[in-house]
Amino acid sequence: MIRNKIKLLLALTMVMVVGCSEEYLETVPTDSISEAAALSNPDNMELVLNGLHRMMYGQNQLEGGESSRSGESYFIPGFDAVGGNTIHSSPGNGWMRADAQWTSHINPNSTTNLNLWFQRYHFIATSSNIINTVASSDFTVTPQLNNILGQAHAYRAWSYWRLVTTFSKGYLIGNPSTDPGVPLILEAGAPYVGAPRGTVEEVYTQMYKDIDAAINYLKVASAAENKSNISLNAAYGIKARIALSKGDWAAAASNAALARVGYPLLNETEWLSGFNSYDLPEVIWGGKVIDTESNYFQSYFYFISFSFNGSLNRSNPKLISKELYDRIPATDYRNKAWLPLAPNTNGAASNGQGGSYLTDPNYNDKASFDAAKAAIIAKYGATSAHNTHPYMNVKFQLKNPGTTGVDDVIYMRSSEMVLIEAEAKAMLSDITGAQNALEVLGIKRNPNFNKLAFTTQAQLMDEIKWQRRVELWGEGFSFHDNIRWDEAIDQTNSGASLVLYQDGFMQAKPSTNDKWIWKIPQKEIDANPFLTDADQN
Amino acid sequence: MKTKFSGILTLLLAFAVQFTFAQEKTISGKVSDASGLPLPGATVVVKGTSFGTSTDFDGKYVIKAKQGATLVYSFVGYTTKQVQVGTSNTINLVLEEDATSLNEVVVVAFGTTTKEAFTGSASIVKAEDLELRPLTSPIAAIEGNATGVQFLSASGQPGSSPSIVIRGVGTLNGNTDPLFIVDGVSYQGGLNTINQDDIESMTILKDAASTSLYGSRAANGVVIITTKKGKKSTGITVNATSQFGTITKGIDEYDAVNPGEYYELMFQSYKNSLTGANAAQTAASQLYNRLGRNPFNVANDQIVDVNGVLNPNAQLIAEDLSWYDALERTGSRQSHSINVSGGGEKHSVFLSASNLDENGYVIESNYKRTTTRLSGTFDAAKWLTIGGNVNISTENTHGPASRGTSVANVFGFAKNMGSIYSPYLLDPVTGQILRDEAGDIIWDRGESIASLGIQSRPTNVGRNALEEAILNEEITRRNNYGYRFNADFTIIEGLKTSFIYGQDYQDSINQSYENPVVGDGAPTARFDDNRFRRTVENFNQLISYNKTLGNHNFDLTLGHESFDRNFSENRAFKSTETASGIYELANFSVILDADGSSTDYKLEGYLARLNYDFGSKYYLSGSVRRDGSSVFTNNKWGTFYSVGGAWRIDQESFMKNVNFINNLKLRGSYGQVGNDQLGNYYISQPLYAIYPNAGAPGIFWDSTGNADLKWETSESYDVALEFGLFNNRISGSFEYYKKISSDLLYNVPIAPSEGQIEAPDNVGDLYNEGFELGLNAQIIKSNNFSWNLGIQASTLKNEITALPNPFVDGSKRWEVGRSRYDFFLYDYAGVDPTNGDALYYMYEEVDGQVGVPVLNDDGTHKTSNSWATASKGYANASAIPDLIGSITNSFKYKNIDLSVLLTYQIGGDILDYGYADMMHAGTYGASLHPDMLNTWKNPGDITDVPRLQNGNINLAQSLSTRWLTDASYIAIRNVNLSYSLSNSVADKIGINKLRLFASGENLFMFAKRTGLNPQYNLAGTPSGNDYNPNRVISIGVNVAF
Repeated sequence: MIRNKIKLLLALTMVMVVGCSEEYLETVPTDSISEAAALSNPDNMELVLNGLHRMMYGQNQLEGGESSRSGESYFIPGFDAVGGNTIHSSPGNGWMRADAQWTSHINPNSTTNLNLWFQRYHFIATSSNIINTVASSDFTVTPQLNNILGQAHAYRAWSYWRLVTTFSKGYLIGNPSTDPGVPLILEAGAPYVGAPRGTVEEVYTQMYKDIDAAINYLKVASAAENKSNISLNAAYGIKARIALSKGDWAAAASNAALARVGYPLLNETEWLSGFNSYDLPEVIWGGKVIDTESNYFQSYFYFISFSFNGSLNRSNPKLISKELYDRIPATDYRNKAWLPLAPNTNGAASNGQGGSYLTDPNYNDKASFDAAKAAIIAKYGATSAHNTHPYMNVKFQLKNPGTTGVDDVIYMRSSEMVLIEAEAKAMLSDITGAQNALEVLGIKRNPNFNKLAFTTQAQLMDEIKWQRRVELWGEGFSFHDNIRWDEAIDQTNSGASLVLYQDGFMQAKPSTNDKWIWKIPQKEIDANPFLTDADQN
Repeated sequence: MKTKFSGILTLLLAFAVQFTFAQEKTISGKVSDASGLPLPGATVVVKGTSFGTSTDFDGKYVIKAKQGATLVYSFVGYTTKQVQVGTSNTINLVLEEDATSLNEVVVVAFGTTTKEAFTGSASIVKAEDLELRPLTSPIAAIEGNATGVQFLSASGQPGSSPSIVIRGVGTLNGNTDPLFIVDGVSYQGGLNTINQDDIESMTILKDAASTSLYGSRAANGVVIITTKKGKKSTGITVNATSQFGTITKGIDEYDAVNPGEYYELMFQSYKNSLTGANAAQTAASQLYNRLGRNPFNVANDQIVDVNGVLNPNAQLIAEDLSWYDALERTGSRQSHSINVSGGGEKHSVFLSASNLDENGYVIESNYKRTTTRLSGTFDAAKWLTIGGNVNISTENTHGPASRGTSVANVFGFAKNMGSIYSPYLLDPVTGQILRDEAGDIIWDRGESIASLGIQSRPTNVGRNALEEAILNEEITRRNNYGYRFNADFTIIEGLKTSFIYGQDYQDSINQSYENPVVGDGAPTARFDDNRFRRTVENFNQLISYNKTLGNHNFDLTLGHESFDRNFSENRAFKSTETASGIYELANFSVILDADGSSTDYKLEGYLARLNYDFGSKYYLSGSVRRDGSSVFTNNKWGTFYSVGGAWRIDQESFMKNVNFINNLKLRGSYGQVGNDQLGNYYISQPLYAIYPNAGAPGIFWDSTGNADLKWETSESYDVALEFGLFNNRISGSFEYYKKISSDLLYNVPIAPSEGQIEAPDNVGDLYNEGFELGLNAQIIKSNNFSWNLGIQASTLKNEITALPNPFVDGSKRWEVGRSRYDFFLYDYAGVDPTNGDALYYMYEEVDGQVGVPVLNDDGTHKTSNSWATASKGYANASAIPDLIGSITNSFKYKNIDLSVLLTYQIGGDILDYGYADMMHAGTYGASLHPDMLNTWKNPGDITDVPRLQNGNINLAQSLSTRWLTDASYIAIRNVNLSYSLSNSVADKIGINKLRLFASGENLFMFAKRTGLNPQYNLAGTPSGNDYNPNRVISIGVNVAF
């Protein structure tokens, strides 16, 4: 009996001792850190900003997002597809075809709309989290902290600028005080209550607050680590863009001038080097892509460049409009960035002239046709499976052509700032000022450039528009430029094919055509308690 | 050898008996079943004593007893018989099978009980249900054999396992997998790694009273798998089975138009996208330029005329246009398994080995598996029993991986390619397959080849998923190994302490090579090497005590359980191949990605259960469990309890004279279980994930977390009547359950303007309820012929009862009063006869109520030709079927057995995306379904298929009621024919059993539309681009000696 009791005690003790310790149920992941730690000090906040810098160009990582919408790597070429400035030569493998055809951004269920919206708001939430955390903490004010706050405010301003210019009616063509804007949410985290659309004017007011705060912080901040960070110059550039879209010409001109200080314009060699490195001297802001952070087939150069080795590139080299190109003076070296006489080798080219010398009006015999293609392949690097097409671009060239290698993404460079300054001064009717600004770029690209050829606001604006479309071809500005200028899309003389472009071939001007306003993602309308289908654009 | 061994055993037994009862008389004999087969392991006990023995392998026994004593013969599943010892020294006995099976042992949480004492709800699948079927995953045998269980078909990829859903989906997050317990311990490995011949039984525990002792993991029900063990004091039995089979597709592909029809339809699409007077002329002459391939013998600009009619001279000259012929083959399946079992007086052992080799019906897909299992039980002392088992299974799976929406998905590629395209490069003039210098076919990658006058294809240019599948390599190798160890201490009579410890490991190597020639790996090739190890450790400590006081029986169990799951993975991704044919990281020079991480998940629980019965008439059972989970932050612990009772009415004295009722039992239960699963073990923590910028360390806001997240609770009520009538010729049960799930865990969609798109929360409540009927009838029962009919039917209902805000989840929208599978779609209203527009009924939101019809002045439902303008409405359709079930017919004629299992589903709807994809608005190159022949062409055409017009987004919205399809089906799931050698013949050739059998799985599926797999997923949204389930027809032989 005693033995039994001992056995019982022994057994019970064993059951008791195997009860687990209190820490048993505390587990933490190994590939993430907690939010509290991420925002606990300025050093960690720098890590958060680095994450945003990567997200500017990297494959989308957000839960519920789509990896292919790889930040600006996707949206820059995407805006030029919708804007009609980069012309698709064939159906290709489908990427951005719907954008060019104007069937994507008018669809509330469009993947692109959702991801653009979602990513920009993710930047806003992350920035707000940093801004609000600092405001409620007692961190010592240091140049480092100012840098962090400056970049956070700048990212928030830039993100709202991307959103309001895309998902609301253009400031200059609408009634900003009554046109619905985009939800202003400056608190981050729970509770996730959403917000109403408010007005365009309210969004602009916030953008100004943020970008001015950014500039003030960055003036007294540590220097930008590299060009993927938002420097004081980049902040001025963002302010110039916001002001330009608003028609605040004076602010646009002055900030654009400040932005490009220290970033000299490219010379001919640099300009023709392929726009694949953010080390180019005039790049103010850009993303550096390295091998181990490749975007693979979701990279900028996949969507824009001829010599990337993807099925999209091999079948669908991107073209410049004939009208634009044919206006490039012979002395302007930019004419070397497009090949008007490249043979049309693709039998499925949408203009119906592809396949051989028999269909291509530029060639009369097989030998010269084949030789022309071989010369292009040899010079710009690609594979024999790559097709060529008249007016195709070689503005964007891979560092390692014919591969799927990585290349940088340029967000902002001095030429844009020069053109902002010129446009703003022209709009202010400061003819001399506009001429001078324009000359800074013009003379650099074409030694025969004569600023005095443009003596009226109309002549200046005509030249500035053309300069923007050529200089900044493929850099993502055309869609919003057209809204600001209230210009229709008419591809009749561009070389684009109606059969491919369909609805994208002709679009009435933005002031009379609300298709220029992207549809708000249905997921936003479904989940934001302040919005119903009636709030859709 | 057989004779020798049993002889020795008998001798040993005889000695043992002689030592003890030297004074008594020796009785020997043979115990057999009604068919004359010996019953090894039957117990023979002298009544009123604890002296006894069991029969040997030949059913023979020897025992000493005094004349006049009573011998009790018993065997599980058979009626116990008593015989008084007379003058004879030989007692041969036939035990009758206990048709009521009331004494059947039911495996329950942390123990066993008898069917009569069981107060919960369970379905049991036994070894016999498994042994003759060509199953790779044993759980496939549950289909049709358990009420209230829904099945999602396994992929046709060899080695796949189906999924099961027990009593409806009680969560919003969609994780419906039940808890699998193998030999007392939670099992996380693939169910396809368990050899079906190793399984003794599978018990599906359905109600919360039976599952609540598993607490947190049991919200989706529990399946307890018990593996075979050796039997004590028996001879050695060897059992071997071999099967050989062929594999073909179990579900045909969707129909498609023929090449001529394709051209005619695409003419419509092109013409309607053009404007101006020359539209038809342009479309006719340039259609080829849009489509890029001409499979006919007429000029490219003369394939169709200006009316869109195929040139009457056009003859198909393309040599081969079949993608499915290129993709598919006749697969094969071979499996061999052998096991040996036996035991002595104080031990038993079981050893098995098996090998499976399966080649799928799609190129490049195959699977090889080897398993082995060794188990033993040892009575180390009177008070100590030690046992355990070790199992190892190795798997080798070969691609092609189903790649979801990727272009490289061979199924989507083959399905979506228009009828005019060949997988191979064809001579544009002769239509013959072009061959390379070696005489091999050349795949068509859709790119233009100017030298051959070949244009590019409008879809998937530069790609050929079939060629890629052949050139790529996709290999997964897994080693699964685990062990169970248990020790039972008997402290005093009735008081036992048990320890059950187990670990399961899975080591996996997945290597994915993408070739340098075509596809995403071009031009340098790339290679992904992904390895993981999963370790699951489970430790249970139990104390049980049972006591009988008169008619009162008590059985108390107390326990503690800990569970620790660790998952660790490494991945490297490199490009730029050095030498071809070497699939190792060293062979690639550029690192694209290198990653690794570990995750931990832990649980701890304390449990108690008390069972009580009074006179084997009234049964009560109660349990409580307190569970802690590492998933939660502030609310780690939850408490779950259950109560159950049963009343055996047939045992009452007032039932004595009701002769036609053999069994009548009423039972009911209530219980709670919890759920902590929301797809991520760190879901409650707000996290920033690693995301470096050009090598500089960086992080990004990855998840919102929610520290207040708590257990999702599922309460269920269950009441059932079990019956056996007319000598148990008719038996069955009728059951009702209601399962209420509250504080549902869900990643709630939040406005993307919040910077994240979802946030986890406990958001609402829902319930599932249903009636379940299981009936078994022995329609004919004679010596030579018998016919058994089994019918099962279960209803399913699901309703959301609380939700703070409605959510849209894909094609569904959740709101109170509707099920989580109610479709919320753009409501197709047919075709405008004047212009062929697709019309959609208009809905609006009024006072927060969505889906309110917008009416015309005359009260009719207003329509729009833009779905975006029309808005979505509830379609009054749900993916949940009204009724699911099965019909089993088993026939036995002499030595021949035939069984046919049909499964069916009535009601429910499917949003057939696979069909919708083939009913598009006229995308050049994309395949078309024959229903598209009804497309609107001219003003006045009355049809329900809108016009074709390339690029128009309003004509074929995929989230539309237009694609809703009745989900009802009936399937011939399994047919089995077997022949057993008669005993006398078997005996002569020195074996115990020989069976020859033929078996067919997934023989036919009768669904609403060819191509549709109604069991694809619960949401009723088949993509149409997956590896469809296969059909296996096999023959086999089973021998025991």
